[in-house]
Amino acid sequence: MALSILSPYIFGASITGSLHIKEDLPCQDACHYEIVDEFGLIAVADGLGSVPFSDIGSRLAVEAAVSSAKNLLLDIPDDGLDISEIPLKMLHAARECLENRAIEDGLKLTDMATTLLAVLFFRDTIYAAQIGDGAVVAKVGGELVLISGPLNSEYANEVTPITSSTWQSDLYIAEALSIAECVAVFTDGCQRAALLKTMDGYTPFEKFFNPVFSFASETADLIAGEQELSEFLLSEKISEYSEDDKTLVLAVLQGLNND
Amino acid sequence: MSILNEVEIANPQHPHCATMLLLDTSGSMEGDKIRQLNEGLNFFKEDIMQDDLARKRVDLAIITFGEGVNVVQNFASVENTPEMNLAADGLTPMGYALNTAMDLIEQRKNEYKTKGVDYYRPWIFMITDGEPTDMKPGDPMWESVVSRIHEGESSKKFLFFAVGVEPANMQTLKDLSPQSRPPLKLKKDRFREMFSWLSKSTKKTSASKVGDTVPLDNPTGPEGWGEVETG
Repeated sequence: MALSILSPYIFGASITGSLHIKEDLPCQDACHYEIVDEFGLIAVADGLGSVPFSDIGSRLAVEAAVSSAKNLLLDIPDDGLDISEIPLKMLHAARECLENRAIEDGLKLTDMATTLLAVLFFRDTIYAAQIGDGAVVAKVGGELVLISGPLNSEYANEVTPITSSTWQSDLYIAEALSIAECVAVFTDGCQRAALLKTMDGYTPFEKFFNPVFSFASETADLIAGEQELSEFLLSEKISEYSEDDKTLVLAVLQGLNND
Repeated sequence: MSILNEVEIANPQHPHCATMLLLDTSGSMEGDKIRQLNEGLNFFKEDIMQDDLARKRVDLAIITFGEGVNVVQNFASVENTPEMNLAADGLTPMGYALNTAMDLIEQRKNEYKTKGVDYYRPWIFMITDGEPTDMKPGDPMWESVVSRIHEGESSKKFLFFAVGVEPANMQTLKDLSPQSRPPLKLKKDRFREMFSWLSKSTKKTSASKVGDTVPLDNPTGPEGWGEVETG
């Protein structure tokens, strides 16, 4: 299928938060993304600070999630493939990968505890699933939509990771969202900056996302864009109220001018 | 100049870590115990103040019970905590004090929710050398206080810690405490070590991020300040 438009693109950054820099700890956030034909695949994970190998857990989870989806997309069976199921399959692949690694290395599965956000987009439609916190926000016709949001409990430091025994009942599968122009996937380190929290829940914050999505749409060079995004996440403004690791992945979809 | 410079922050406030100190200032605390309690409290404040993150995040409330129940400080930044010079006098209205503590926690959490502030699970840290004089096992007040503590702990409304100072009635404290967290008995003259542990634990909690279960130092080790009474 020949497309006459610019391809969709994805870029992002994970940075080590000030607290982990101070304590000489590795970045426990990880992200991985890839464009496969007309599909975009994004996985973002936040390893839990209280366990010893969460940096490995988050890294393995994002890589397993993206590569499992890529394998499915590159080898679509004759009887077809329901792509709306892919984000959930990405979570399952990540969990399986962590289980296997735990057995191979004689680790406890929970020592690699991590959250995971899995996103697939096809043209202008976004599918997402997540376990733990972080969020997926899209721009649709100039409006911001929270596709999938933090699933954390009442308290700021309690969440269900993918390594939990209850992960399957605590995960969330978002409804597909169409005619989207851009999407942002981020960990909780960006949450206080990006989401307004009210009695009714979370809402994407326009004064955060409007500049961020404009930046994403105007980026011409993805390497330079990623560099700028890293600097932004490390900036005083973003880290003032969150000492945590931060990940922000941005994608510009092949949107309305795709016809 | 990058357009990213135009970004504004949705929720420019630190998550809050509410810590409730519930202190027995009854007559029997007089002498060395109240002196060490005051010193420990002042040390706790200074120690929190020296930690950049904890200073901004810890919300401290102090209630005393002795000559009445007195809210010395409702939840506020440690910076606002006055120099402590508590005096020991009166009985031990622990039941009323516990209810007041749990009321203030509910109130504070509602304020957090209204303002969209993220918060950690509040702590109630009670220190006593006696037993309640305003309730006793089996009476309605006792039943309601105990069930409120146990329900609050199991539904994750707060974490309840009780510390007994000689000659506290440890059995009473055990009945009040959630099963999962039996009361600790303070070793003689270890007030400062106890507050140091509390400060360290509070600092750890206030620096924890989403997902963390904060591992606390064991206060009952050979070098610790407390011991668990068995039998």
